[in-house]
Amino acid sequence: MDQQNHSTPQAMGVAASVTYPAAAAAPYQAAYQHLYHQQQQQQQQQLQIFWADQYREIEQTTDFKNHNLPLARIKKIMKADEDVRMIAAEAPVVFARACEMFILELTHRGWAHAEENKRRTLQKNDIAAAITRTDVFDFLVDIVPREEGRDEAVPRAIPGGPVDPLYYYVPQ
Amino acid sequence: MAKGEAWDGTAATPATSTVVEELPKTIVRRVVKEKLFQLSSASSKKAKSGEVGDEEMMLHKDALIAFSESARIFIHYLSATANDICKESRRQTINAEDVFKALDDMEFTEFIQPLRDSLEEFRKKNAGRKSGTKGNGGTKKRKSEEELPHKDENEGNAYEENN
Repeated sequence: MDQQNHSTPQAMGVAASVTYPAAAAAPYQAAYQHLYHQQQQQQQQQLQIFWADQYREIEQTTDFKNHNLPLARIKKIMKADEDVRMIAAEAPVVFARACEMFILELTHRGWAHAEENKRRTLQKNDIAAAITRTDVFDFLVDIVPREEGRDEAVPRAIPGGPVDPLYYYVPQ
Repeated sequence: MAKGEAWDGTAATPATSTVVEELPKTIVRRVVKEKLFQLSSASSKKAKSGEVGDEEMMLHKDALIAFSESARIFIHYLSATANDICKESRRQTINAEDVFKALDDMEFTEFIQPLRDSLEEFRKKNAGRKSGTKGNGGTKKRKSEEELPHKDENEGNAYEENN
């Protein structure tokens, strides 16, 4: 990127100090062109900065979309639990977004497993693996069952995980 | 009766046939696919040029179902936890704070702040709409500068859900 900033004040100074004798069209024109180019460059820079910021914002806020999940459906799911009676109007809004964040988290961890196994397709067992590996997903252990011994890659020892290395069965 | 045990040929019918409400598959799929795209693009940037990583990640059909089911169970878990918290405070209506506390209990603490922000946005949007429809049809576009006062969120906004 052109570093024109340092020259800008100078240029403005130069432009400002140019005198405009009534009959001297040429220096006036030169000054004008100079100013014009300066402005063009500034605008270019500003545009560049603007678009760089926009792009960065898009990358950062890709996760922050509008509420995709329909609030009515979420309410219905909540009320499938008979214990749940009254729900404030704002609650499904929070649920929708929380649910989305949950899906994103699960996707990320599932993806990591697929990557480890060099696959381009995210499979059910990737999700099962993510659930097994992540403590906060313990509540899902029965929902997406892990098929027996179906991990392609040798499982890494997870610190603090339930597997005790001393007793981990290694088939001979 | 363990799972996987075979019946003697008769089709199993559930004792109570309840409709299980599910999240819309298209939306779940969109959320997952966009995240996968983001992840593969990020990793392909780090990878050396020419390496695999520019290809789109695919999503297996069973995986989509697993996502959908997991999300549904998450809602159940979160509702139940929030409901307990609400009852502890001797209230009838689950409010946003109950949900935040529930997330903390469930150890999804990192979700809380982004959710608070998201809720604030929602409140602002709603406040703007309300002030726009008060007898003045035309000027909804006006930026509402007043902050929505922090009223008691509980009973003021409550639905009456007596189903």
